[in-house]
Amino acid sequence: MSPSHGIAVHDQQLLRYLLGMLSPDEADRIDELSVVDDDIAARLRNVEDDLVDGYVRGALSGDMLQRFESHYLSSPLRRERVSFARQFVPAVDRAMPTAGSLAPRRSIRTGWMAALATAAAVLLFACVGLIVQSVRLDRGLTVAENARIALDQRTRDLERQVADLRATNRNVESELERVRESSAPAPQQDAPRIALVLLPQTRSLGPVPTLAVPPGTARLGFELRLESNDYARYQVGLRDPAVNTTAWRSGWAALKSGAAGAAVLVALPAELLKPQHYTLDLAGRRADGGAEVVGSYTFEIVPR
Amino acid sequence: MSPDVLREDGKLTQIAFTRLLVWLDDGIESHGERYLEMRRRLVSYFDRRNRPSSDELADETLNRIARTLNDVGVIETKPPARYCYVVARFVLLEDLRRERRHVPLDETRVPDVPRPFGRAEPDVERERRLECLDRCLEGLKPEQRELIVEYYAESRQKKIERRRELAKRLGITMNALAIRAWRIREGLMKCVESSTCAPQI
Repeated sequence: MSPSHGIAVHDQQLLRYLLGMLSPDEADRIDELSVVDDDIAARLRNVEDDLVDGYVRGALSGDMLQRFESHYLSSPLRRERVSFARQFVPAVDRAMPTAGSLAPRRSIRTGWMAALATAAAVLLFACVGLIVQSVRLDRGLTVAENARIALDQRTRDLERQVADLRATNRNVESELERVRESSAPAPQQDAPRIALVLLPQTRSLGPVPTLAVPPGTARLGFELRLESNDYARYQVGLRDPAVNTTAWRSGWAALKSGAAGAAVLVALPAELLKPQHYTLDLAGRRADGGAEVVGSYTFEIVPR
Repeated sequence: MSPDVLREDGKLTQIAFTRLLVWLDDGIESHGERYLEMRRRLVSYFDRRNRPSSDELADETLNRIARTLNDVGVIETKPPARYCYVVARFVLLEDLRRERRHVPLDETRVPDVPRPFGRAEPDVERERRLECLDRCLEGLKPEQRELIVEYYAESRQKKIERRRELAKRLGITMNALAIRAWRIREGLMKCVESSTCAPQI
């Protein structure tokens, strides 16, 4: 129910009406609208409340303040509204978090309540801070623990790698040892099962030593006797007289001295030899590095 | 005065009162809200006319209308509020005439000068009312408390803008918001005035 009456009534007009500042005709018109028009009735009440709140907050001044005190406050009913507003306004202002200006506290109880609320807010803030700090420390501990675990893992990996390297080194050393052993002079068990002692040739012709090689023989041993020991190292070459070429040559080796005198020991691969005459040329190395033929030893391989 | 309408103590009979409520509702059931609203408007009207017994005059206005409804059966004037105002004007004039008859000739009419607030009220009574208001505020529903705080509290933001945003947020018109806020405020006022500080909303 809101008959408009085709008349616009502004809040400022309603304010002047409440303060008794309108002409009698204007006041009569607002009187009627305040009862008949729902919209005006509602607006009038709110303008009145805002006016009273403004007075309580000290926002009125000049003529408006004077009219408020002389006219509006002349009614006990309206004074009661002001009295209520004196309690209501600070209460809602306190309850408003973003209130621009708070009215002074009028109650010891509400003062204590506010102090307690402030203390609670400070405590709450401190608790939140502690919780945040705790969470940060927890995170830091977790990170440190993860780093420690990663470091332990890395240490274990490195230890494993070192162990692997050591094992590899042992294998390499073993292999080297094996290679060394394989490249060294033939051990005793690989010594030729057949050996022939050859004496230095003289001008007198004598029988040529013969040797029958049994099947399965790998190496043949020769002991070349010497009449004198003039060189530090000796080398033996196998010469085929038929074609006059050296078919095999030994390494440089030292002279072996024994009860029978000095001799050079040499082992030939049996597969090189076939039934015929052969000559072993013995060369000696001088101290200056030069070499010269010391003697020749002839023998004959005969079939079995 | 019809005995069917008024009892000996001057109060409306239940039937007359129900008839008055139906008439004021004007076809829209308000469960008595329209009656309370009209009575408030009339009390304020008489108060603004500086009548000391504004409550009694408001009741007298509504009683006369109930009597008319009982005698005539129907009131053609629309809306009902307009008829209420017409009757209220007569009641006012009668009260003014009555006042003139009873004022002694040697008595000067002295305006009712307001007493200073805050100092005349005893501290004990003021403290009681403050505690009572706290309890009444605590008795509000959270949404009511939020509404009344946002509506009436002072803030840096301009009042009109703040209320417009509040109305928009609640999905209601500014007018509806004003009515809601005023009703909560009136309820708090009654709550504080009551001896038990019981919520009146």
